[in-house]
Amino acid sequence: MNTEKLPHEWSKESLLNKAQRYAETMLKQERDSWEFGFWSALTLELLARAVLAATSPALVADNRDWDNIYYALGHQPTTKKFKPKSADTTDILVRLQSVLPEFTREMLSFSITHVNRRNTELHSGALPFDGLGTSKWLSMFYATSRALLESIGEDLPLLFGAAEAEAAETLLQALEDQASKAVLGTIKAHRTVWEEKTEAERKKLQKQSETMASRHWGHRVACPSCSCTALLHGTTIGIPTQSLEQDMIVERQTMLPSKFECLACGLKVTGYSKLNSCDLGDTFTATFRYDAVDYFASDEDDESYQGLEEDYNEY
Amino acid sequence: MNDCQSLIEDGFTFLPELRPNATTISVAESLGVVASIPSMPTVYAIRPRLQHEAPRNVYSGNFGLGPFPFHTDLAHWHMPPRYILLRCLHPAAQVCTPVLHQEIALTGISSIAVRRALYQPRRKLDGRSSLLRLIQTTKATSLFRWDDVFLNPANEEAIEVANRLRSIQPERTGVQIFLKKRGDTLLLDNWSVLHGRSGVPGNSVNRLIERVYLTEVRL
Repeated sequence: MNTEKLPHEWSKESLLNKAQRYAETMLKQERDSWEFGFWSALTLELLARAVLAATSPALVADNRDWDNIYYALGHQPTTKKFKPKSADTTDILVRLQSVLPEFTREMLSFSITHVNRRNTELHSGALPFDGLGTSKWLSMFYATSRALLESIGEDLPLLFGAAEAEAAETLLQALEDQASKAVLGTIKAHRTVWEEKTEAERKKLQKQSETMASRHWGHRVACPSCSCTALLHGTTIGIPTQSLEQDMIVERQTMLPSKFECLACGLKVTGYSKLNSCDLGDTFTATFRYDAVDYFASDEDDESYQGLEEDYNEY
Repeated sequence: MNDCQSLIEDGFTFLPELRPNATTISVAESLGVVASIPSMPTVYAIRPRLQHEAPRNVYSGNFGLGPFPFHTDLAHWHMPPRYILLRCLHPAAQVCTPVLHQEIALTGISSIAVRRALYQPRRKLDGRSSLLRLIQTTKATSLFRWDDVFLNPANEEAIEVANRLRSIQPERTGVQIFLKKRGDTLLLDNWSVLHGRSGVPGNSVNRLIERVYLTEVRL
């Protein structure tokens, strides 16, 4: 391993060490002060960059200019007056969601909202962090931070210290309990309504949901409220695997549940944490079958119809 | 325990009178891969110097002939050299090189304080400042750094660790190594052990040690 004077400014180490500095600054503020929220947003931004950089600093680069990627890889571009530019934070977060299964859609939504507060704070006269009670965001902040830290083999105490990490775990437990109670309450309410229906109504709805819950549209599961066949939708995680089976190319993609819907009793549950609390959080596999022509062929066939309107029988 | 095991487990190995008539560079090349650091001579001659004779960017300029506190070399760099080879050319039997493993040095400090301790080089390097972790870990390895002169604490945990490490007296702690014969060679894992130097009495000022940094060792 070679000696190096300075870390790359987009390296995991630099970004993580700075995230810790921002977290320390955050914790020196009063909890109900705007500064507490502001520094938390900066902490989250640096942490997200550090986690992406752990895979490669190239992922942190603004890829609209290849010189930034070249710089991220440790080289010095020769372009005159080159100034390295990293990707916008929103891009960083979207990239994270693609590469990190643990970074759920809920975490992505929260992170974008929280980082946008920081943008509003810095670029306008608005006061987005004033009066923003911690009950509205702190639990999700720690849940997101924990997921990001654990993905690089670290934990909440590294960034926030032992005492704050312990307090955070209490908040996280409460968040999980709250989500769980809310979902169980919803399930119970739908079950009550379902049981009040006549048998004929229930049979009709059961048959409808069985027909509509096609494998083409999602993953079939038993509804926790009425036990009818319902659909679970998910977001892709990891890379798909391909195999050749009986002249068909079979692609299997692991999915993390994100949304549940039952057409029989009308129960809907959105968000991984809520799905997980009612035992619908297990990953599932989406399977797609293609013949080789479909899988590998380009759209050349369509080029011969360019310029023509859609096919219609003569009219 | 053989030399390789000693280097891995204790963080150092002592090779007495190793090829005393050979050049230091050839000895170094036989032991591993010599580091090429643009701003430094590959083989650096270390002689005791009075404080006023040396600039303040080196230890002699801070401590003169007095004891050097425990430190790791180039701790203020992001990636310091992995191994240090110290080879005796002109011995001084009364001058000792104390060596202490970081695990012993950090005994009594909470693991979370050790993990969170952040430092900054006291001066910018190439116009830039940086935050450096006391122990920097990767999937493959762990790098420990410490230098009370060239590093400043950047948070409370770093102050706690600094206070602890400053309190360690090199002459009373660790393994005392004497490079007292020509060719005596001390190989240190600069990422896991601290080293220092005892005071230099008046009759030992002709001591001459040559230092080479290595990136890899083959024992």
